[in-house]
Amino acid sequence: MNRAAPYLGPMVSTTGYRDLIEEAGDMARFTGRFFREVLRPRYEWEELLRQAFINGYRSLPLVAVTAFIMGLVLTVQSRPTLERFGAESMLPAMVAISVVREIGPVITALICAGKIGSSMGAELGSMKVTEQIDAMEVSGTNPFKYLVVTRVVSTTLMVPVLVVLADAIAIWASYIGVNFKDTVSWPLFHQQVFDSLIFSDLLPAFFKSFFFGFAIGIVGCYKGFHTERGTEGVGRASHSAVVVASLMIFMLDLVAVQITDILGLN
Amino acid sequence: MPGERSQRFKLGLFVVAGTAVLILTLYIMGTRKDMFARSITISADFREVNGLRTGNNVRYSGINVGTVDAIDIVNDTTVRVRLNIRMDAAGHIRDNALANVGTDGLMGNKLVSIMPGTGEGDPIVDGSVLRSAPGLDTDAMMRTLQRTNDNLLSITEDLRQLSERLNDPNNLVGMLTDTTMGDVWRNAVHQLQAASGNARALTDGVNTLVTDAQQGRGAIGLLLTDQGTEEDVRRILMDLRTAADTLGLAIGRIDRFAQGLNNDRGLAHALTQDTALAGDVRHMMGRLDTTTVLLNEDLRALQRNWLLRKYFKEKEKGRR
Amino acid sequence: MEHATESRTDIAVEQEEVVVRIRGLCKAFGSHEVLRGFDLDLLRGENLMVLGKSGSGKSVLIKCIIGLLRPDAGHIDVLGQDMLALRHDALDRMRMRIGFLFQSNALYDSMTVRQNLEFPMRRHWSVMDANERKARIMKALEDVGLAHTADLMPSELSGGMAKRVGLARTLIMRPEIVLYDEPTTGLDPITGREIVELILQLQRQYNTSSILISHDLNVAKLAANRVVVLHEGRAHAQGTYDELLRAKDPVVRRFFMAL
Ligand SMILES: Nc1ncnc2c1ncn2[C@@H]1O[C@H](COP(=O)(O)OP(=O)(O)OP(=O)(O)O)[C@@H](O)[C@H]1O
Ligand SMILES: [Mg+2]
Repeated sequence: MNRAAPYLGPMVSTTGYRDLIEEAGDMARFTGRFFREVLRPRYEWEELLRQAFINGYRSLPLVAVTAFIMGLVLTVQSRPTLERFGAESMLPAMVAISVVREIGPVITALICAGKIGSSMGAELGSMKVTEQIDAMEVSGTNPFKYLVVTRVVSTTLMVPVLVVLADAIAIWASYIGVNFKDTVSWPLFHQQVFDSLIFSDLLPAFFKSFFFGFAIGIVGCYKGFHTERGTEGVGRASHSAVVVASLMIFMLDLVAVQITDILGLN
Repeated sequence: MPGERSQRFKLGLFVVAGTAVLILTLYIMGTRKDMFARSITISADFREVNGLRTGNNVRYSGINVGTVDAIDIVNDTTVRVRLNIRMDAAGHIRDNALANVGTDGLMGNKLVSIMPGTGEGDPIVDGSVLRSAPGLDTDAMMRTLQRTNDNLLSITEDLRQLSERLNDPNNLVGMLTDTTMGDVWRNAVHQLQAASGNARALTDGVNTLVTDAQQGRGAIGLLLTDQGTEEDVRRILMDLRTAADTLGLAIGRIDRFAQGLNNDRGLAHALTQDTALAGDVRHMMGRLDTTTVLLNEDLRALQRNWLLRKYFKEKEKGRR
Repeated sequence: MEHATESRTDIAVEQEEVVVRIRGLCKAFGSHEVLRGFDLDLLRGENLMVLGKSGSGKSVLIKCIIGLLRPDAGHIDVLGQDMLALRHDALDRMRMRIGFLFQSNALYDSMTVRQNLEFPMRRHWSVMDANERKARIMKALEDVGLAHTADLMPSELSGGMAKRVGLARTLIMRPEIVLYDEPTTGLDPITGREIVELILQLQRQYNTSSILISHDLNVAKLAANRVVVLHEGRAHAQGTYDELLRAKDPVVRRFFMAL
């Protein structure tokens, strides 16, 4: 098959109805194509860096603000419960563990799904309907490589970086939150946090964020690339990219929990 | 393009920051988990490990000295736990030390605690096997504590009633002349016997508690990492000791007194022949009273403590 | 104009080299058969026009030629190569020799005009140095008379300007064959005529063969050596503009009735 093949997908089903299974199959094919293309030479470094900048660096402010608020609120909200058990001293440890293990990766991924997924769906969607993707194809540039591979690789690599930074910011915010009612020095807080954190808190969470990033990229690109004609389709691509990517994140999270459990990393 | 250059710079900064945070965190965690420090491996056998897992901390006299490396079932009664001990700490641990599975607080992680053994021992080497010490059963301890306290209360009550009667000279004379004296005295003797029985139960209880606590010397420290709780428990044990000692004395006296009452010469004789007794009883009453007050305070403090709250709550429910 | 047309006919007749040969092309979308055995030969240096009413499958036809759509049946030979057998790099290399002007221009709206023109040259960056590329871009823009727009974004261009930029981008790699998809649709008659003249001028300059797709008879009259009428998925009739103007066939007559 030549490159034109995946374009047939949406065109063939003129009936308009594509059920969930069919879409899952298409997405799996799309993912398979990604892996085939990502390895074949002619790497679009320029565009990869540009996408990394847009999807990584440009997402940082939003992620940072969310992480800060999250860390602060989690701390303030958990305090009464821990107080009831006389365990306020466990506050830093508790917040650190929940942020690192779960909340940091998932919230960051969801923010990215909203921000990156939607813009990808819309951008590629409008490129699709205005034939820009076709134009790339006929000018001898593989649009899948140029548009999809760079985007997916960039989110796969950038979301983990965002997650690490978000974790750090959330824990720092937690330090501020702890000090609303208490005076805990930074060294003590630091000590309490690191006393509680172990490798199996950090590493599985870190690894799963690669998958979150990958899912965001793949879903965003898939939705954009498979936009049905018309501007209405662009809106639909954009919003369903967010919905599907968010769902995928939760499902991956579930799978990650099971895997870490099976591997005995909990 | 200058814009592109600054984009790359920012992107580089962003990635470097993220990577640096990650590596720093891993490094800090690594040094804490002794990943990069030299260590030796020893093991200890337990009957059961109470949910211990690999990676849990190992403490020696309350200091983190290593981590649990592996847990293997050797046979139906033995679980062998391999421990990585940091080189610098290993020099201080002797091969006669006792290992014990404890908890970092009641809600915290499991950990292995190593306590110095008695007598001389050689420093541990790679492959040393430590003996294990029985752990501390908190629930059993609390039950004994509660029972002991109940006993103490009833003794104090009995003795108070008795001493009130003894203290009242009119009553004393009344008692001596009263025709119903027989009943009154039977009553008093009954009380005294009850008190003495309770007192014996009390001393037993206190003894169990104190031995338990001594055996679990390390364990109590582990169990109650919370400073306040540990102090509470230590104080209550001390007070119980005092109470038990006092009662030991008192019981001897009371026994004699009771015997005196029971023989034919009766109370009048007992009182006149052994006047010292009345003073003793009164004196001991005073001491017991103080102790009881102290103990009650201790118990109340303990009840307020969140660690033991669950136990007291259940007790209360059972009472209702 | 007349002179140009005649001279081109002469060249075509002299050489008789077929650069695009299409046989029995079929393409259906679901149950909707758009092309049903379409045949076509494009000679070197020829300006062939495909005339058909809206929705008759003209865009589908040229998208099949360049490989954007995969036909259900039929053969497409371009410059002696079977387009349907080519893949990956070979296909890309072939596409470099074919220019395609989209009906909607398809300018990359996230890039400036300059970057738009630079994009097709990406493949050649290794052999073309920065100065040469720059010179080519400026030349291409000058050719379409828009040298001053290099740093504008596509959204800042008017429809006619965008069409010219699209044209410049299509021709920047000096393709041997150019496929124009409705170059004048949506433009006012004057601008449309300017575009057609531009196409002819560039064509003379770079000696290309082209397939022009349109339902605009002015384009046929001004630019086409030969006209093929696409009707019900087949090449219904063909001939020069004048021949078709005199034809009796009712389908063909309907196109010319509007005049
Ligand atoms: N991707 C597609 N999926 C489904 N149907 C399509 C697709 N592309 C084209 N068609 C159908 O093929 C037919 C021909 O479309 P095409 O775009 O070739 O028309 P056209 O001749 O170029 O018309 P116009 O002059 O309006 O551009 C139309 O009926 C259209 O519905
Ligand atoms: Mg068309």
